[in-house]
Amino acid sequence: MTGPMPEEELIEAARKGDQQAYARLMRSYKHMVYTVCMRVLRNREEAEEATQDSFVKAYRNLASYQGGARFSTWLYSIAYRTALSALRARRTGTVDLEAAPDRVLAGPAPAFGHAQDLHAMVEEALSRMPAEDAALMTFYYLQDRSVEEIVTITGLSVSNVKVKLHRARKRMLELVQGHWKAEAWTLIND
Amino acid sequence: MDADQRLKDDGQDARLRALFHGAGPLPAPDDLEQRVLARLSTAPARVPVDSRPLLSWKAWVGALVAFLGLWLWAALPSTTVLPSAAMPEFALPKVDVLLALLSTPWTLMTIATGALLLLLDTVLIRPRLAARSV
Repeated sequence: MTGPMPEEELIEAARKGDQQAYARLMRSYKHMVYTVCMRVLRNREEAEEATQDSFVKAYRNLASYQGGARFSTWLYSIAYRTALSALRARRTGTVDLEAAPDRVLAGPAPAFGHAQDLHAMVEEALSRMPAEDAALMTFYYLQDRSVEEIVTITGLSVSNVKVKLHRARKRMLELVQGHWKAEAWTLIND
Repeated sequence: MDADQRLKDDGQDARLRALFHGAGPLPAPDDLEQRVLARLSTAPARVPVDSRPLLSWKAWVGALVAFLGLWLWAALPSTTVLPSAAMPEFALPKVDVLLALLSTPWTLMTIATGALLLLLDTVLIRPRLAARSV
């Protein structure tokens, strides 16, 4: 019986054309890649398409991955840029990534009170932020990436990442504090 | 201490992190790998190929040695006198003439251009990242 292959071996095997090894890599990262795409695109079909595109691009460019950064950082970078490209392609002309969705200021946020709603609560809060900020929050708080790694992934400057994170964090806290109050923290502690 | 109060303390980051971790990533479709593999099967991966120069470094060294040997052979005084009528005049330039030739702007520009092209070739051959980030 063979144990699980280390990631480096899977990458090397995939680089040599072993698609099953690449499938195992995909299995490890598909949820995170999909989450990144979903945060940017906010549309299930488009996010699925962008996730597939990201993995196809990554496979075709595995030869250029040199191991200087973590594989996940390299992969998330591809996913983030692929999702941004899809977002730009969705609309004609340019997309203002700084712009918040129309519903940011519209209407009260729904109430959450059950543990199974924790997921929906995070989604609701992130959907009320600009796409780029939502992605940065995901990298920082869900994937535990450092600011430097986020800089690598997004191509933004350090100060830009810090400003956006600060803004998004403040917005998230306002939402949690203003609308959901104790429910969120109760759910976390459960 | 109520929830509002707790949000204002230094543990805000930790709480947000806990909130995100509690929610977790969004679930990707189960058959995502199959879909990607199906797309990949129509276009195989680009397997890296060693690109070797047309002339190996040994060939270049050999050519240089041959050139220097020929030049030295021509430059050194010969004790053998050949009938000039039978042999055509074939004299390689002396050192000072050669240096004067090499230091002309045209020669220098040629060498510089060659070096630039070699540098460009090296940069282009070097593997690059798909996403310009790392």
